[in-house]
Amino acid sequence: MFLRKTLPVVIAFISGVTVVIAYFFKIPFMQNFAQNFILKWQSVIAIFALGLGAVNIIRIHVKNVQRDQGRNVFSLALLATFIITILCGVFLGQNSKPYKFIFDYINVPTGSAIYSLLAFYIGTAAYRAFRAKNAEAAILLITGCVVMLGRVPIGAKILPFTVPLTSWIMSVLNVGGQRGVMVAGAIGFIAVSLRIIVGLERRSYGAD
Amino acid sequence: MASVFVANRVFDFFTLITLCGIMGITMYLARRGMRVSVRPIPGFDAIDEAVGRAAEMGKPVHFTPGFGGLVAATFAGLEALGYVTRLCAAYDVRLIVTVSQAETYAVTEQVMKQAYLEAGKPEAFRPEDCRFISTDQWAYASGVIGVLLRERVASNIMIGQFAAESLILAEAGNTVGAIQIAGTTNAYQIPFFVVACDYVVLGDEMFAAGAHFAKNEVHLGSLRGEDIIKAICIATMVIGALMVSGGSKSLITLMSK
Repeated sequence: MFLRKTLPVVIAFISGVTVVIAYFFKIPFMQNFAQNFILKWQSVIAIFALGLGAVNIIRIHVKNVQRDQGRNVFSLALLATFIITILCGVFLGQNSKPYKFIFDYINVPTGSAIYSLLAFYIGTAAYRAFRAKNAEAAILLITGCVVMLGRVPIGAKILPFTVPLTSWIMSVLNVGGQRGVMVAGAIGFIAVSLRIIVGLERRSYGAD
Repeated sequence: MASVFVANRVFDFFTLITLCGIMGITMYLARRGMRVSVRPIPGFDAIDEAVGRAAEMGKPVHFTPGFGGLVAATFAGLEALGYVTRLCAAYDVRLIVTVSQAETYAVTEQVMKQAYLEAGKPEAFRPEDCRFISTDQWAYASGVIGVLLRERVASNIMIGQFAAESLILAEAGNTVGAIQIAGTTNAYQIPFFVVACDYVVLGDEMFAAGAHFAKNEVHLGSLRGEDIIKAICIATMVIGALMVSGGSKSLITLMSK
């Protein structure tokens, strides 16, 4: 009971209050404690959690391979690359050629490929969104068309008024809406943080 | 006194103390029985429909608290996850949860276990259905796409902290024909969710999850406090705009202290 319920609350309270005090006040002891102890421990805990995550990945994909009797090529590929990357990193080092090869020629290009999907998905999402099914959708459609025209050179040639109108939409309507969300979100952040620090957010630890 | 404070943080400190004080008072009053009503939030109401649909189709539900670590938005997502898990346990629907950060994975698994326990079905929790994908943003995105496509989920719920991968995940969910509920506080990603999902929990509505699902008095009180603070913020903005328009910069000077 103490380890599961009380200790996390005590640690959260001490850590939270210390970091807040260190942020606002010039107290060297507190600032050192926050910088050199709490933030370092945060990294240590994250590393332990990463170990748990790695175990989870291995468990799931080994199960997949066993269930499909080796026919699950994706799980096999994942396990193989997982082991090779770890072996290269641990035994050859992060600056070794094989490790850099994995990072520069496999990890980065595949990441970029997934990111590039965004361009196509914006197109398909816009196609579905730009149907004037009701008044709100019609406003979205008109605003979207104005902004698109205002952002490309040909738009300025065909309909010159779209350029200043786009600037107004982006700098007034868009920024106003976004700031509203940000301010309300920040207040929500404070509320959640306060509840965690004073131990009223026990669900965070999986407790009732 | 100013020398005790870090430069330019005096006003911030007293503002934080005031905000925490307001929330503390409203939480205390809520625990003492103050009535706080929560307006219906369509995105949260639709969760029942999403799980019901999955039960009828015999397909799984997918939930992800997003790409963020243990930040406030993730905690709001985990609050929703607790409710989704209890609902899935009640209807015997398989729930697959994908996580991108290791520390979030540990907490997520604990939240799921607790929710299955509360639903009276601790044996229904399958550890392999709480999946840590990757801390790399695009590896996480591709992993979630894989889960959505391979498992042919009936419902896709994405509530938490999302970044540029939001549209990729939402479009993948749309490809498999899943009913989609999304929520984030990231103002840049909300438009993507709005165009690609069936229901969206907008910005700070996410933080009402605890109050909405569990009617938890602490959360209800906190919600009332947030509303009061928002009203104060709006009043300050209006007063500030009027003062600056009138040539006075005293509020700006005070806030820069």
